[in-house]
Amino acid sequence: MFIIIGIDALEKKLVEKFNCSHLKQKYYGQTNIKEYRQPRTLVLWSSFLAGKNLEKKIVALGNKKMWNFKLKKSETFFADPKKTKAIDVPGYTYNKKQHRDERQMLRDFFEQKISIEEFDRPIFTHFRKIKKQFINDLKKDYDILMAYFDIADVIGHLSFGNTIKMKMIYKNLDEIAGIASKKAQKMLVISDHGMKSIGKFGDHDEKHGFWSTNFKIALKNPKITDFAKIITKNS
Amino acid sequence: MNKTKHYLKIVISGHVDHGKSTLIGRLFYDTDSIPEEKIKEIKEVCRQLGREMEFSFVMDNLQEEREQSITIDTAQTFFKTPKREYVIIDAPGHKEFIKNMITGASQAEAGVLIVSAKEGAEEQTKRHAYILKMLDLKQILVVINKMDLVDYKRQKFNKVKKQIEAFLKKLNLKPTFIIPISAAKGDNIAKKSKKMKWHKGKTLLSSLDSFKESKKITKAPLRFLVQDIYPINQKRILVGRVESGTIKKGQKVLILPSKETAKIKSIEVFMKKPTSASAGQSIGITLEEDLFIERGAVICTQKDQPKVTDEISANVFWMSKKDLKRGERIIIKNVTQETEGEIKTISNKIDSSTFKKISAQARILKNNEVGEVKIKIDEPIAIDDPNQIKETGRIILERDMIACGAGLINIEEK
Repeated sequence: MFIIIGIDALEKKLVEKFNCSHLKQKYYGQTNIKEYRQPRTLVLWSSFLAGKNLEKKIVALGNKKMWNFKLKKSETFFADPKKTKAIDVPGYTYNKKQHRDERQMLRDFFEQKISIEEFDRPIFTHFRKIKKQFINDLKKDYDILMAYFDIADVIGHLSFGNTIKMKMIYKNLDEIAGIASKKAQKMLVISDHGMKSIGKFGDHDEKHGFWSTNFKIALKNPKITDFAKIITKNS
Repeated sequence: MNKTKHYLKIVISGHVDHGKSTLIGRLFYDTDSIPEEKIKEIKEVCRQLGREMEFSFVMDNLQEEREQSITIDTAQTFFKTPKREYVIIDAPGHKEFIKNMITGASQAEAGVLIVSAKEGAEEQTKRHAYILKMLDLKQILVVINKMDLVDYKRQKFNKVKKQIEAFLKKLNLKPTFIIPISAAKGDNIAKKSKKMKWHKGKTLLSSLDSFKESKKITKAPLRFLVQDIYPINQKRILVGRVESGTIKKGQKVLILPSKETAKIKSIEVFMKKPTSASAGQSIGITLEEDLFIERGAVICTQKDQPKVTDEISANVFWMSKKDLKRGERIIIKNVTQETEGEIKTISNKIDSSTFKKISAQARILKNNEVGEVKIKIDEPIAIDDPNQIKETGRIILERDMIACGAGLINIEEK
């Protein structure tokens, strides 16, 4: 089974600081995302799935319609293998309502309509749900299994300066990677972009994402789109 | 300034995965030594992540606060029981763990060695036990942690206990208490465990409370090591810590290595004018005489002098992946004294985790090996027998500003 753990805004510096050995795997580094005008969630994950830069195409849809963008299986690295599963992956199997609600809650927080606890609660609930589903699916025999976790990004936007909270989240993600690594023949941990601190808040790092594998890849300064071919070749 | 302190300095050591952070977090939690709102937040995030409360995050929080605060004693954290306060020296996770273990822990009055009931004593446990021996701690407590993971079984505790006792015996160490605990669940930390009724001994906190604060060093020979010199209001204030003994206003003292004599004019403490200061106190002093004194000078009395020498023999615990070589030049530190020297001989090498003798004479000392090292130093320094005065009886060996080894000085009678 080729396992892909997609983690929004996983920051290399924190992976190292918190010594998340399962997230780091055997080989790890940063992806170069400088070619994108903005590190948009939907653009980056769709580009990752398709193996090509889809920024122009998606941005052309406009800010609202962009969120309706959905790739066909045949347009992704899921095309060839027989048995595949993608859990909550943006641009493919994304739970639109959940993520629309999360964006709305972020606006509500800054408009002081909700507290940080009220903001966090549904994010954690969604995280637990995806985690449970992923761990369950690890027992099945897929050719490719991918899960997408947005907790580091969404919680990080408001709490990146709260090191303990971030550590607790990273350690939990690390634990998930540890469980998955036992089932994976090949495993990729990938993020769309990193995160940088803006006081106690967090903002997207526009230059780099994160990658790690349990097998050697022949890429020195990889782009997020470079991995589709590797996944196809190894699954 | 003769006010008796009511705190005990402890060092907690053991294998990195045997639950040190969890234990420290638990100690802070059980003694209400951490703000309630922080505990609440950690509990809530754990709950949201679908987990039980993880006490190691309490430790992380303390560490985070420590990194953000500007304090002199960065490696020290506090908790308290109704009896007294405790200072934990060298909390785990610190980048310069070993250096602090030796320098910071040099003031430790008791040591806690943590061992997992599941894994038993591992190599690192044995090395840390060796360090406890080097610190010459008489009050040692062993906690056998993670009892919850072995179903609180007495047989498992006894098995690990036997193993620990056997290797501590080889080091001539006898623990005062060996306690089965679960730091994660809180068994035998502050309260007696209901799941281990077979354990008739004390809890960890009550055992710690029964330890004695070291008072005897106030009666030991005077050692005041100059850390810095501050010119304030036309006075030259010599700042440092009384490492042992008591220093008094009007006292006649000897300054080493220059061998000049002087009289204590005043003892300076912020907003106070004490007439004496004892071991453990950081103070400033002024002298009646106008002498040129530098950092590293040792102030003592004529009667009880340390040995001033340019040759040191010490049992060195080497802790660097790059070997210590005969003929190598290295930095030697003894409290605030610092000099350079050359390694002359290495002998009686042993492995710190197996305690097995490796060789009688050697050319190199490898990582985690202990050996008797003779060093010829460039400038003479004042040293003591560690059995008499711990603080000036130890050396740190540094290479490229990194502490690579620590040693207990052997004073050879001629």
